[in-house]
Amino acid sequence: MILGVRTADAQDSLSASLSEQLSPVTQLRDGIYSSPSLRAWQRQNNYSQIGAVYRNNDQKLYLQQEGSGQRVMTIHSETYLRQNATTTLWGHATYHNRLIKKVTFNETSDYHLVYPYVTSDTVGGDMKAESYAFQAGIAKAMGRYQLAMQGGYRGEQAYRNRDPRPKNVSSNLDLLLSVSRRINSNYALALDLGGTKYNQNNSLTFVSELGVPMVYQEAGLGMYNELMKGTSTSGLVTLRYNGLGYQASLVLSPLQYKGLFARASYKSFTVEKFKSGVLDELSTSKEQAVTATVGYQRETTSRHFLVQVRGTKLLRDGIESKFILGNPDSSNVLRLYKLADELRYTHDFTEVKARTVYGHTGSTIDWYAGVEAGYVNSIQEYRLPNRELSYSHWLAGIDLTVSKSFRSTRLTLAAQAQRQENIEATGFWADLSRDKAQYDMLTSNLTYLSASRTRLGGSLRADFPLSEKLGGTIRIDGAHQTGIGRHDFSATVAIRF
Amino acid sequence: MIPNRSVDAANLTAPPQTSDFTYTNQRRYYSYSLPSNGSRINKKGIEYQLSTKRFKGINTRFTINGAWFSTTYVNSMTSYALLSGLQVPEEQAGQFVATYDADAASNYLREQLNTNLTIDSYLPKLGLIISTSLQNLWFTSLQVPSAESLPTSYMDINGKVFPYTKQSQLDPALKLFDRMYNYTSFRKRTVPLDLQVNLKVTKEFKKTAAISMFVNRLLTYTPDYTAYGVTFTRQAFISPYFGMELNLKF
Amino acid sequence: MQLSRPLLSLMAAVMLTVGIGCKKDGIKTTDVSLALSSPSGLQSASTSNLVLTIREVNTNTTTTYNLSSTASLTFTASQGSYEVTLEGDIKYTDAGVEYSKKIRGYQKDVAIIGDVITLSLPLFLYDDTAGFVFKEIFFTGTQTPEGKTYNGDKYFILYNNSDDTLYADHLIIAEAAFLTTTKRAYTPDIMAETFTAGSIVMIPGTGKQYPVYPGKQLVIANNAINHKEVNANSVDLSKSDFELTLLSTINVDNPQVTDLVNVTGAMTMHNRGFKTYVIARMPADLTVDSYKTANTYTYSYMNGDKLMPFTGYKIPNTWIQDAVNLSVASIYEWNLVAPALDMGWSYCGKIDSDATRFGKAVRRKVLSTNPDGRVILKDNNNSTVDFDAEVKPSLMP
Repeated sequence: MILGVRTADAQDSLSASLSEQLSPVTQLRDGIYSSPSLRAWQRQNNYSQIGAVYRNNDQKLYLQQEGSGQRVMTIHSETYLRQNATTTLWGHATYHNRLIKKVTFNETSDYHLVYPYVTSDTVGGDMKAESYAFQAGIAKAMGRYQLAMQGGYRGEQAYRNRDPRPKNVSSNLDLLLSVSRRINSNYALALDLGGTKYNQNNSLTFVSELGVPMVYQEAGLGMYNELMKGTSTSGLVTLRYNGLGYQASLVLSPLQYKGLFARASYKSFTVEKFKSGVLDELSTSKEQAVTATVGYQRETTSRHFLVQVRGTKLLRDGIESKFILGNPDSSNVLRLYKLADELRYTHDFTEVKARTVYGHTGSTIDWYAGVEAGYVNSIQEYRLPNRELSYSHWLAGIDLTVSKSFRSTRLTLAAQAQRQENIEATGFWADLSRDKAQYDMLTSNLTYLSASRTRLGGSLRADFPLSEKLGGTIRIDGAHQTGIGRHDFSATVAIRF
Repeated sequence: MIPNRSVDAANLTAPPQTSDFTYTNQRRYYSYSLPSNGSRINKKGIEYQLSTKRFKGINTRFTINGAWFSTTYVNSMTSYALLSGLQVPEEQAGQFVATYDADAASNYLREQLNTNLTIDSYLPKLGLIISTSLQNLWFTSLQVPSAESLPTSYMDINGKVFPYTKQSQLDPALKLFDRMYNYTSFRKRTVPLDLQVNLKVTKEFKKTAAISMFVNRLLTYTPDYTAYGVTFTRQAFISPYFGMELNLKF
Repeated sequence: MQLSRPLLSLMAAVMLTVGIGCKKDGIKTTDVSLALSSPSGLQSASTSNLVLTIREVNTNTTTTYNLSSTASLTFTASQGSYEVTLEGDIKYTDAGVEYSKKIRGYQKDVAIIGDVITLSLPLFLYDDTAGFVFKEIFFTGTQTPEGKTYNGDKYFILYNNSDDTLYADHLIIAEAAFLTTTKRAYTPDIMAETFTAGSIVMIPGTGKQYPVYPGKQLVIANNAINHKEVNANSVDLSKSDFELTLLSTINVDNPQVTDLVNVTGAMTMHNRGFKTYVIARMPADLTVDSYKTANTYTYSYMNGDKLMPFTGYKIPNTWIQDAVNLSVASIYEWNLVAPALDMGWSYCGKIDSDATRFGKAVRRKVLSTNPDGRVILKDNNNSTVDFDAEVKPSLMP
């Protein structure tokens, strides 16, 4: 939202800003300085850009609920501005227009936020989604302290224009308050406290006269509530999700990109699902996540180095309500009300990832080389009946980026190779009969999640001046992943200023 | 109705004529609606608006407005009713016309009180206009004043008018004219607090272009409430409404 | 690097204390003690072969217990909302004669919650003596080949399931006032003794005018005409034994076929099957008007904070010879007759407004065929097992 506030700078600074932006070290480093009260040290150079991205991907194996690929058109603008010695401003505004392909067993948006409690039918199909997002933040220096706040909003509308016809409107409102203190000349310690309010409303309608499929309120691993299945007498299902989250992070970071850094954060997110006509919540999912990062960075004008290890532990509890038709209060009005609730679904996810990048700039050619390695373990369980879907894998990858100027145009070439190797996978749903659609869904999801794969990708980027104050960017990305049959392509045009 | 004996259906060689049938005369009433001017609406209320200057340090102006309204609707026309073939056997449908005094059940008294607060901030350095509005409906209420369930009289098929008495209430057909208003029909129903927050952020580019992002119902507060021992939920299914606007001046 | 020791230990402490909270218990169970109470007034009653079935309705999990003839039992169940069904045998003596009968218990929407709970299940005898039964109900009707709604081709088939000649005079067919898909706390609750009818039709007659021999049936059409002449998807009902008088806008009178008497407003059979139908016999000494005067009653329920009063007609359970509940699985909520009359329900269509339901009927299963060729239909007072759902109507070619 704050784009275009830069006062005229020379082409030099545009070029310095570009070098910083092209560096894989910067991309890794940005994570550490994403704390609002550390933003003042995030970049050495101000930058603003507005661009458009076309992205398409297709895959043969995929998570049924998330679809077989997406075609996305994005318009994005962002700004980072140290306005003066005491004020830092940043913000972005984004519009996405997405086609999500072959979504089945899920008519709900934001699967990663509301799972496993989605509404489903066995028909599904492509979904269209439009989203708007904007975020703005400000940090003010007060002596040894930086006081900062950041607010953001994302609104999305997703729909399908043939049966079944979901219409989903979802929104996130985020607020982050942050304070940092310079503890000596080299280090600052930052504390972030944040909150999220999430909301999604769904309506699912059918206009076909040729019959309507059964609509399920999913409960995880192919389970659903028997009482809540079907549609209302008007053939309509209306649902609502209310989410509330909070987070806290503590970050230790160097001020001049030289030294150890560490970040620990805790996030909690609870979302309740409601169905029209039922006052009590159908289900509650509670997610807690702890992430810890430690690393070391050292950057000089020509040498850039960063190494970090990040561990994430995520636990998600799915609590289902059991309903009874009765008279819960003195009003003599019979309705379905919550009799009890039970923890039926759990997801336990662990990830450890290490990455290091070294780069050399300032000679005839700029180059960066990176190495990464990781381990993931995921266990989803359902109780009564007992079902399980779990997998673990390790991954390793290398990447190389080279960048060189030809007259005023700068070309950057990057290549990555990554191998993901499945270690173990379990699919247990013995109570489910093979002729049920849910059986095929679970089998297909397990096949996707446990497939070993190799990813080869590359990108070519050209940056060139448009005028004294404007730079242009064109970028093409492509990747192929064996094992799951995934292809990615994207093209970007952008203007930097 | 009764098996027809006047035409030998089994041995027909040509379509029967109406004159072939024996018949009895039957009569019934039909009803239709006629618009006429028998209702009265009384509206009274207070509206107010208060606007501050733009406070310098924060470049912000506050505007408060609101209103209290009270609307009374009174219909003084006599109303009529017939019995349909869903209520009584077809041969009894439309045999009576019940007459009710003024159709008081369509009368109502509606009240509401609302306050809106608009906060406008203009940040010239950034070319930003941030406008936040809080729309608060303190309450709305609706009440139907008491009305009589029973008709005052009824007319038979011969146009003869009878008073509707206790005896009429025992007749299986006439009994159905009872509208059965009860102690819950005339309750005052008050819906409490309904608050919504809207946000609009506009970015100007040298007075020639402006891009705005707006979110209506960014936040809503519509708490559940209990009335007459029954809990009502409202927060359900209110969606935010959002979008972008681009304004260009040439 | 100048990182002080307290700071490091602070970070370590933060990372430890955010260690994620312990998991709660998963499935909660309740110890249930169930007391069975035999029908009152039975002399020296003894029960045997009791089978108890409990079904949790959220999870659709069913557990079955085979009991000896004890009067109570205890078991452990996960918390939830249960449908409790008991079937068994009972022996009792009356005036010195020993009877062996079937006994049942049935309760729905039973809350099993808390650590310990005591439930009681009243048992009841049910009348398995044969009389008139619904052999078939075609309530969905048809659509025209163009997919348009078509009226008038629904029908009932009544069947004499006994080995005596029965007379159809003054038999009434009634459709429920309530819906099986919407359970309400109707006040007063008289379901244990009576059926609440919305519409009633009656076979006329002098008392012995319409004999029905054992194993014979009566077809009661909506409009007794050959519907195939205008709708190829429909049936020929011109040879029906009786026909209804529908609402005047959709009624077609066949002068060759005797009309039933409309006791109330016209019956419009619910084509999504949300209703219950009963066959009863109007006592010979009652006229339609005297029946209505004595049995019209007002019931009400609460809709939010509004009291909704209605007028319906009572039919005492003792008059009822057969009852069939109809519903739709995805929105079924309750049965509209006492469980002694019908403990189950049948259907056409698995979801509401199922377009595949048209042209389908429910038909009673065959129990056996006598050596003389007379078919005996299954009448166990449980439509779930007595009826074949979604069958092709027998009058449809």
